[in-house]
Amino acid sequence: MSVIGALALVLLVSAWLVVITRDLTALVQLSAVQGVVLAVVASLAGQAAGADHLYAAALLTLAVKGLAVPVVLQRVLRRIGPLRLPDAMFTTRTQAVLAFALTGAGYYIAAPLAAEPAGNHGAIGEVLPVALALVLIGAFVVVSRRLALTQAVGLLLVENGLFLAALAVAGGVPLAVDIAILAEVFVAMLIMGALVRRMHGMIGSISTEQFRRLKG
Amino acid sequence: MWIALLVGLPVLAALLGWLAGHRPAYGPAQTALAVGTVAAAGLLDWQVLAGGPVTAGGGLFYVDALSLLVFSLVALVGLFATLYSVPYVRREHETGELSLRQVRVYYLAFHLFIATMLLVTVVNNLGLLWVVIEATTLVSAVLVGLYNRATAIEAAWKYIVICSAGISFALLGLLLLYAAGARAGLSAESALAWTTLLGAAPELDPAWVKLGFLLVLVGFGTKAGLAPMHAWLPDAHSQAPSPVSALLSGVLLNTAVYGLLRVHIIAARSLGDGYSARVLLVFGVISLLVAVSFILVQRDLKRLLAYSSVEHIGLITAGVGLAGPLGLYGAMLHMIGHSLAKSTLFFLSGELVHGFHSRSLARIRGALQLMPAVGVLTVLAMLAIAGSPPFGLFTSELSIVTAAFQQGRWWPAGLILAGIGLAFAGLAYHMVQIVFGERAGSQNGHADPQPLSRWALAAMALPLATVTVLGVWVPEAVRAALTGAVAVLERGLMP
Repeated sequence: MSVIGALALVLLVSAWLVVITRDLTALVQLSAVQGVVLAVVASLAGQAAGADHLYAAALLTLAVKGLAVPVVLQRVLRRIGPLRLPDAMFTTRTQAVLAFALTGAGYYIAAPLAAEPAGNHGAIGEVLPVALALVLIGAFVVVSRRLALTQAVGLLLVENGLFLAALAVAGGVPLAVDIAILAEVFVAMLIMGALVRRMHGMIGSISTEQFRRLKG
Repeated sequence: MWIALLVGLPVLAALLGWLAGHRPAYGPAQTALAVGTVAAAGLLDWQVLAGGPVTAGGGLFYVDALSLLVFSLVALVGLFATLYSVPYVRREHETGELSLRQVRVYYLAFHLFIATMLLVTVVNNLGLLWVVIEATTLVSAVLVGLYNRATAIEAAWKYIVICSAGISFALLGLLLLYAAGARAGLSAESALAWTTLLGAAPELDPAWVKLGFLLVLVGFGTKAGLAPMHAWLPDAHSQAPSPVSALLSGVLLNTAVYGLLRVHIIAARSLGDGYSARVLLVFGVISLLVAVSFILVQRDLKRLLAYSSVEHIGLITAGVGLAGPLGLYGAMLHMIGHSLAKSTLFFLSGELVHGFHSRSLARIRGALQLMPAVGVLTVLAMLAIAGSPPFGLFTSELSIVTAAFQQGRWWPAGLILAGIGLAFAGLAYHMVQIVFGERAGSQNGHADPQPLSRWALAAMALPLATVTVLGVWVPEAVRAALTGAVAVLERGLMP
């Protein structure tokens, strides 16, 4: 297994941890870790393919996903104080099982696509399944958790999966697009953080369980 | 050059709004800039219709007839919404609903919102298209969640989360297209350009294109409000300030459909068997039927209008799915008619909700008595959106249904006809209650009718008049734009 493949597995494990953890601070830290690992993967991929723009992408990923976004989320957490609210809709065991199932789905879907490498040095077979698994697990987190902040972390997970998928199938996207996407992730987290704070200020809770007013 | 003006003027209006949105002089200033935007759109329209698609920025921008149809509507409805914002925001501020700071945030986000929607239609790079579409979500979410109400925060949160999660699937789909392009030999820089992908479409791996299209359909379909990904729409469109609701329903949905159509054109050319069109038809009809069922049992005025938008976007999508000149022309004409009529209705809803202090359809009754001008306009606008002649939507709906029958597709034809019929009945019923209905005696003290401001009247009368005229006569320029858009949808190229 290559270094990139090993790092992809690290990402996968961190996604599993996101699913089963109940500590919101740990969630933010996990997203920071993912940002760092993604940056390393991107620079290794850049080195392997001789694509310089991936170094720039790696640096930006480190800055935004590894640092800026976790800082934003951490500040939101500090503002809203300690929480003792139910988060997950399923038990930890059910969640773990579903996470594994989704990982399996990722490998299954990726199999036919990974059958033909296209100039990215064979990494596609190791990385694409993980990327798809991240997307699926992230979507699962979004729909199965009640706390708004956790849903935001789920979205980040999906985004990370997409970045990894781009690396796997196409050697990354053009730098301009990458910059735009990262800038947008940052702005999105700012806006979502502001909404979470207002939510807390208004109803004293960040649980979307309170969101039952709009129906029909 | 006109592209820069088109997008730049609203940005300028946004900055001015942040700095001076609360000043009285801002009203005329932003109107002037909005008129300028419409003028820039008109000039760009003329340039494209006269001389073919416009490329700029070294291939970064690409404007053809499909682009111009969508952005012209954005610019127009943007102007009307700007007109209506003036009295609306002023009133919200005077009644204490919006603080001074919120007013400035409103105008900053409002015009930026318009700028991002315009930008969607002129970029060539599919990756940037995706980024800009997500940007429209982010900016409009600020507007949806503007009011300090728990329901507004709920709507804004659901909107941001569902749409962002949804369109991440679209990004995955676009990545697959990009990868397919790279494998077909396209360079890394050009493999995301729509024009390049169109040219290389026959060489793209069909398996990747198919999966990519489906993912984009889920993604951009979520933003467009196609069922079953529409859950966020009634919440967001009903909780936003009414001028913003007009933008959301009237033109934002169009930009999402636009993104979907761009990929559909490539997929159709690549797969060659009408697969993508069939899928669009299915989702369109399902959206129509789902929306109609909610229209029939609706109790909230703005949610009623929101579900009506789902219905009409479903119709537009079905029209494109039916393909053929009638189906495509009908779909594009319907886009115009819906944008205009729906904007008018949301402006009217702003007046009705304020006058009756309620969004509940049980309480908004007898508007004709209380607010005669609003009542009359409501009759006309509701008839228009229900697809009654002589309004433009009747022509487009007839076109789409005829296309289905002509192609011998009995099930879609029958379902569409049934859907349209039920929608008409539901909307007509609600309209009669709203305008002529009996008001319970105890409500008399609560209503607070106000004379219609000139700004509001203009904002409502102009689009309504346009959609009425379109029902009887399609001006040459509009016809050229429509046929151009149809050609782009059929072949990717203008005639």
